[in-house]
Amino acid sequence: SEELNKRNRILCWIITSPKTHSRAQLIKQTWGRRCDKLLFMSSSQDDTLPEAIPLPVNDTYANLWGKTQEALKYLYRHHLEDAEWFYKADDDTYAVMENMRHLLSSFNASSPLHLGFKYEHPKVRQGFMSGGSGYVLTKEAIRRFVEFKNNSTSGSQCVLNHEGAEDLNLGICLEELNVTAVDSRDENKVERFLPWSLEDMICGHLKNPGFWYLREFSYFPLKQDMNCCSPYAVAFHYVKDYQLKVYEYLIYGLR
Amino acid sequence: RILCWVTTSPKTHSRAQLIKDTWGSRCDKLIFMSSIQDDTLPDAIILPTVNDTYENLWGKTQEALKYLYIHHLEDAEWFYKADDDTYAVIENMYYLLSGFDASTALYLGFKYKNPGVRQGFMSGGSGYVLTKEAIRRFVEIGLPKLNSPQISHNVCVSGPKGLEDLNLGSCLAKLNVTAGDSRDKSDMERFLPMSLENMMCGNLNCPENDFLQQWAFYPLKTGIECCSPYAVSFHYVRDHELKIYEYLIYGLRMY
Repeated sequence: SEELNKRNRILCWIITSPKTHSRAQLIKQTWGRRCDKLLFMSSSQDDTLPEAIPLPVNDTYANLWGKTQEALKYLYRHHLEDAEWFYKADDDTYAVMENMRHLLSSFNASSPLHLGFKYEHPKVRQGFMSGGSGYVLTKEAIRRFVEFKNNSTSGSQCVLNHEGAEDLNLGICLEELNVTAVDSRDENKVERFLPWSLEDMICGHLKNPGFWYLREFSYFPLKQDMNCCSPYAVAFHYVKDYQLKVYEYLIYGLR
Repeated sequence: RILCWVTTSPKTHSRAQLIKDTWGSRCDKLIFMSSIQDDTLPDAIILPTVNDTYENLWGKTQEALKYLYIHHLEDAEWFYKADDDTYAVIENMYYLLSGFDASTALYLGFKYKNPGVRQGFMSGGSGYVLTKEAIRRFVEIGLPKLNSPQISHNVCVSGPKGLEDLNLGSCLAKLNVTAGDSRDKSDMERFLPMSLENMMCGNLNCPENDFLQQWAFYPLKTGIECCSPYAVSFHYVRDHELKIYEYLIYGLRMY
């Protein structure tokens, strides 16, 4: 119903950078238009992406944590009333928004929540969400993070300098703020947020030595091959450039 | 009924297994034509070809059609040839074929124009479908018979060399086998000769598309209009990608 939709609006914020603004365009033309609101967080505006939000950061992978903090601050200041859910994605991600709405509909948007692909870590008892596969935060989660940031106390493990692993640091901070890291797997306990490329997950590559982190630290037992990925998957990572259009066609175009 | 015959070779027998695990199982009958049997593909049909190379593909095709004529003509009404880097959507194939008369001399695929073949010929790479009657005419009349002195000239190009798809098209035209129009009601192509990424490549310069634009029999659209929602065949889908297509087309559900 109209009312239901109003209470479950999704704002998608895409992390991009000047080198890959063309991907942002492809996202606009494909899955991005299914978000209630779509924002591109970058470090500068240009002709390829005139609406990019230029955050005051040094745009490198090492500074991703800094960029994320600036993005959350920006959302807090300008967009907190525009949605109930705030979905972060990289610009090489393909999201299936209908499945995203279905997932979120079973959670309470007014609670402080964090959804995504969960990793475990000694510093975060409840686990943290992988940055690469994207995650969703509620309004309350963002509010707590930004307001804490403004009034941080000593004794906190939540480190706010610009370097450091974005996803791990966010997870540590959110746990201290009593934001819940939920289980977003489907009824058959299959993951909906997919941290690696579909190719790697479906083809058993995860057994290779290169994927040791995923094997060691995934919070829930990992499934592989054709069982890896939920029929109600919400997001695929490492989908680049024209592959975005290919996914759009295979998922929405082909009958 | 549709009999699928997949052209493969010893170097790529592993792809054949992937086809068996994905779309191949939806054919009424599935046959792999190769030059050697091995542990990876113990049920491969060995064709008596001299050298299993691209140059001899025409020779391999003649042998394959002869084989089908001798052993399988009664096993199906339609005979679909695919390469081992093809992903076919068999349900859409049934839908396409239901609009044609299986008892006629007919062949379908992605049509190219050529000054030597007025009705056009089907791209080998994107696969094509022949009726029983088309195969019968090809083998009984078209193929050179070394033991028939009465035949002073060959209808089909003799020898193993030459462009397989052009030679086949040229020969079938002489045998009054119709090269049908397999586009859908909106004139969108169902057999796709280039990778989906290349076909989607709309406004940007994709040099591969120049060839296609120049030689396609019917006017070609680019971008998301390139490809019918009822597409039957995707080319250049290799190895792991076969499983990705399988998941995106049959596994993923929209809530």
